[in-house]
Amino acid sequence: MPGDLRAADLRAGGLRAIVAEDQTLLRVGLIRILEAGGIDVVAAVDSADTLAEALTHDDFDVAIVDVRLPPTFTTEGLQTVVRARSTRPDLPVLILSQYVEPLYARELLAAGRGSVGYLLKDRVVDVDGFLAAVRQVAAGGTALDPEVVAGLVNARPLDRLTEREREVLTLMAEGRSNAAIAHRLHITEKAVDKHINNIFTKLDLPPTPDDNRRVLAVLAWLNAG
Amino acid sequence: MRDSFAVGARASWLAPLRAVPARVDRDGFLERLRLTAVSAALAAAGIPALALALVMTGAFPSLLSLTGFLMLWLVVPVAAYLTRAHRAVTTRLLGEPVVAQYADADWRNPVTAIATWARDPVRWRDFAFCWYSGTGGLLMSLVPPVLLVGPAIHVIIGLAQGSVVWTVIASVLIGPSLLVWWFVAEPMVRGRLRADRGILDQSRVQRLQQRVDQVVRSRAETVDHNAAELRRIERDLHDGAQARIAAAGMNVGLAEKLIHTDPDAAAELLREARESTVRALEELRTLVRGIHPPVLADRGLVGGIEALAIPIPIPVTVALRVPRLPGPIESAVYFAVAECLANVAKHAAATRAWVVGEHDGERLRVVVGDDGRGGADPRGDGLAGVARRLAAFDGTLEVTSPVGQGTEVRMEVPCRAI
Repeated sequence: MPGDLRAADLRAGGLRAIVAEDQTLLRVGLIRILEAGGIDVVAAVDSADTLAEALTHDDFDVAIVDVRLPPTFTTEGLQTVVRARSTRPDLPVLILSQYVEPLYARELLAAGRGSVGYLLKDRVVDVDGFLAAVRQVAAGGTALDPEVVAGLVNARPLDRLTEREREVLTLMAEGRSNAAIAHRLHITEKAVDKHINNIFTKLDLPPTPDDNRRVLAVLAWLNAG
Repeated sequence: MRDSFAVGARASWLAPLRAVPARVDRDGFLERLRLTAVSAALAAAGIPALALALVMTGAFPSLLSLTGFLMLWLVVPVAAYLTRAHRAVTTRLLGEPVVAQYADADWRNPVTAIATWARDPVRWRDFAFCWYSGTGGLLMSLVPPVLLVGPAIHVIIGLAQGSVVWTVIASVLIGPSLLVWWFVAEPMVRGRLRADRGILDQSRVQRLQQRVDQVVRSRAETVDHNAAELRRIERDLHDGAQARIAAAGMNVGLAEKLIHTDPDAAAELLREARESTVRALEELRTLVRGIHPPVLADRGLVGGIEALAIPIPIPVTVALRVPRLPGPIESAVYFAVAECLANVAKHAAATRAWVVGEHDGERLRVVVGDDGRGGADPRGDGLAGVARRLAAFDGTLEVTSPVGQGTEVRMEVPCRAI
């Protein structure tokens, strides 16, 4: 996994993406934003079938997929991605939606290992934040919408954690790096590390030095509820 | 004979009964005369009824023989004709529906037909009615005509036979007889008709059962309709305003990023974003209008329908005398009229159209008509949907659309003004 990270870092400028979005207005907007961020859009599709086909290729680093796609306009995007990840568990996918549903997040997290994102379309408005999320998913990380995380966190009893530990857990689950968490909470990275260790001890999770794996462990624990 | 009475008689003969004042005047006299004639006709109808009753009763013991079988097979439908005529007459005279629903039976097959009839309570009502109409009913109905003309006939008979005593007694009786007639005619006829209704009208339970069935059906349709509407609104929001606002947000976000490096591109993105928000607002307005039009809330049905008529490309005459009605009914009728007018504009090829309506305190009646090509299909998606929507309020919709002769959609909804 660290190897993946480095590889992604190396070609950070030249990421390649697939965009699956049926609404032209939004597809064009997404492509513009991605290209302004230096990410190549190698394929832009507007239906579940064409997406499934595009996902079989190997020429992309991340797929950005709308949950709702033709023909039935329910959750074809999500289902296509979950199917694809059952054969390629590390297929990097960022799901976009006009609403978030913890159930869908659960299905998404259950299929595959990391390299997954689930964001409200609203978040795209924060262009730099969105591009960071795309890169994070491409690099094997996770990017979950705060609304999804809030839903997952609230569903689990966290009485054992302190207020600060809960904040750290929430930010971790959103897929933020230790540095980002430290910056956000105005504490040192060392303090973040200490909180994370406490969280892992209190939740009975096996300690691991790797950021990404720690996030996955936390998500798996949240998801188990 | 009963048929000719029901169909052929002048409408005024069968006008609903009304209270007749005891005061002696021309109007009261004519009304009593009418009721006496009706009573005489009811009495006369008792004779064929008695014949039918005797035949049916006689057929029971011989049911196992072919003759009895065939007799029943022929007579039961005849009895139904008779009672049907009585139901029609009673309905009109009492001003309340007297109805019955026969069980479905294929009369061409005597065996199954008689088997079905035997299990059909309405047929047994027919049987009971024939007996009653030919016996007690007949006697009851004879009272008013006999009181009116009986003594006079006896005077004539007395004169013809040269019997002074007979003539004198009969002449003396004319006065009291007419007096009794004056007070008895109306209650007698009313009593007879109520008895008819008691026998002929389908039982209360059966009618309630039918009503419940109808309510269950219309409720299910309403729920379906509402679910479909909600789904449509969700889709409209998701694909319309929500998507446009998201796109505007993306444009603004990107413009923010580009504003220093590529100000022209940023300005273009902002312009697009502005257009997107305008379009989103338009779509929201359209959607709101489709859920509950503000003009309907402000001005009621009259204003709402006048507003509907404005964008129709042909002249639409709106003549409505309607007070404010409960919101859900205003809404249902508004959308019904909107659908009709949209059909006129889309399909009718009409030169003019009209919306006429009034509320009589109990029911709202609205007619949407045009002079177009006609041939509208009442089972089409739009009109069927309208009918379902009205059915939720016990409303009805009726389409008359002969090819080449325009279309008229008549809606009726029972409701009270607020």
